[in-house]
Amino acid sequence: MSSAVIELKNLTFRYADGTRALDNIDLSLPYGARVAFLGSNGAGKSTLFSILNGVLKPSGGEYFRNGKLQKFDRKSLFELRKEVGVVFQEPDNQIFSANVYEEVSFGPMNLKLPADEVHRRVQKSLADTGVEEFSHKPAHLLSYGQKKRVTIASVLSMEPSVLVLDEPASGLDPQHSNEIVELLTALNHQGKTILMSTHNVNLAYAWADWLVVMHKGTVLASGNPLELFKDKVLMRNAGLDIPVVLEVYERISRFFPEREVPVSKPELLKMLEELS
Amino acid sequence: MLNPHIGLDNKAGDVHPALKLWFVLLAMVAGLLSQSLVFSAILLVVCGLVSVWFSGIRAGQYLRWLFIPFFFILFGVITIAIEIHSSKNPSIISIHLLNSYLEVSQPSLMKALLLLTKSLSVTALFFMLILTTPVYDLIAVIRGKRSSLFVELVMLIYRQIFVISEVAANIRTAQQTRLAYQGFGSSVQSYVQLISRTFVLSFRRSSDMYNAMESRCFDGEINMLPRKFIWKTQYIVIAVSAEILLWGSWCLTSKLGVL
Repeated sequence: MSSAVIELKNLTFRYADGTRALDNIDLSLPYGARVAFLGSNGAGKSTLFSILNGVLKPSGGEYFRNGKLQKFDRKSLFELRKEVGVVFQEPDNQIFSANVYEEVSFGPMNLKLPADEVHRRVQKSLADTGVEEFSHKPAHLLSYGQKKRVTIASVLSMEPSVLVLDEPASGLDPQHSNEIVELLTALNHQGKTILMSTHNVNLAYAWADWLVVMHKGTVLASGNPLELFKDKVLMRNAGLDIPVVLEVYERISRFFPEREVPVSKPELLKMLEELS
Repeated sequence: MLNPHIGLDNKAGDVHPALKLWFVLLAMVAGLLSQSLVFSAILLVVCGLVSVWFSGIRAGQYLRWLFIPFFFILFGVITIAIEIHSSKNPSIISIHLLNSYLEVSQPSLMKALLLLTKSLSVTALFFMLILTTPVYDLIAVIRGKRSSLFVELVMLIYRQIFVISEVAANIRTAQQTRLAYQGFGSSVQSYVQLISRTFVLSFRRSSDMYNAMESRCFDGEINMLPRKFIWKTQYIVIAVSAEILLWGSWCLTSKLGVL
């Protein structure tokens, strides 16, 4: 059995007008990983995420999930969507119900679970995402950050093993953005594989343990974030910046030949303190 | 202007919405069957007082809202109050016009007034329900455990009203920052652009929303777990007592032939 939770081989997707959004993608993502997808606008991240959940069907290539070839018939799609949950970027395009509790119950109800189990899952998801107190509030009275949390809760309640989030921190202030990232880390510690697209290289560097760099519908590289971020040619080709922590560290690394590369800002600040 | 807070944060928030719905529906039947001006007028006033007290809105605001249906109904009943005759009859007002007489007789006036108060009292009952019950609670009660196309549509439309109005407001602001709506021609052009852009955006949003639903195993029927409402004995007793009082008054006014 493959060690990859998701494996794509020569995956291609064309829109109805012939636009090639994804071009021969080869990708293998390990179980339980925190994966960040980086790439400029139009790189194909959102299209790829829609395929991972089966909302879009690939035009060519193969999609393996847990080592098995993913089919796109009705029954297979049901299983796929049960296991791979996707949270879209714009919460107002996702929340259709007038009430938070009912919105979060929608997914598990579609899984035909008993009412008690649905209730348990809804309560847990609301608590995990910190929107318990808004459970009976109408969606139109929530803030943008609260709506984002509700969309995550509405997918979490289906208890997928893989959670895919399209720019979950976009449009949020730093505090709410950090809260979302902490939530994703906590979910990852529960054993879920988390896939997140972002434009924030600093966030990707600090959070991810696996990085996928996309550009114009192709995957330029996939693997260890530190190694990829150190590849300046790759970063330039993808139109990405070097994370600040890494960039500063590279200037002072000669003073710390035996030390591991800092991943977070506190680690870097500690090194700078030692240096001074 | 849309008020997104209607029905929320009111004193009747913990009353079971089904109780409120049934209370209002039964009261509506009494209001519709009323043949007494006094009964309809009392019902109208009581509904107004109850709505204002429970919902916490200002009386002036409530009256402004009630004036909208009032004018519609008023223009409707004027045609009932005015009768056209070829000869002069006993009447309160009589205007000779060409070969006919436009007359307002006492019976026709009473009939129009009864219809006016009756319609307004039933409208006020509806207002009472809306002002004390969030729409999604009503939808949850009507839907119950089974879903239906009509209720699904009501729910989706209710949600989309706020989403689309926000889209339209944003477009309008973006237009105004670039000096749109200056003069008649510009206003018409800007308004047309606003409508067409809102339509295109809402169409795209509906497609995205469908995808988001499909990604959560949507199978064509919107299944959701309605929240559990609690039946409280004291509210049932109050509602039943009020309903008995209401129907008692209806019987009394009908039997005694009160105006």
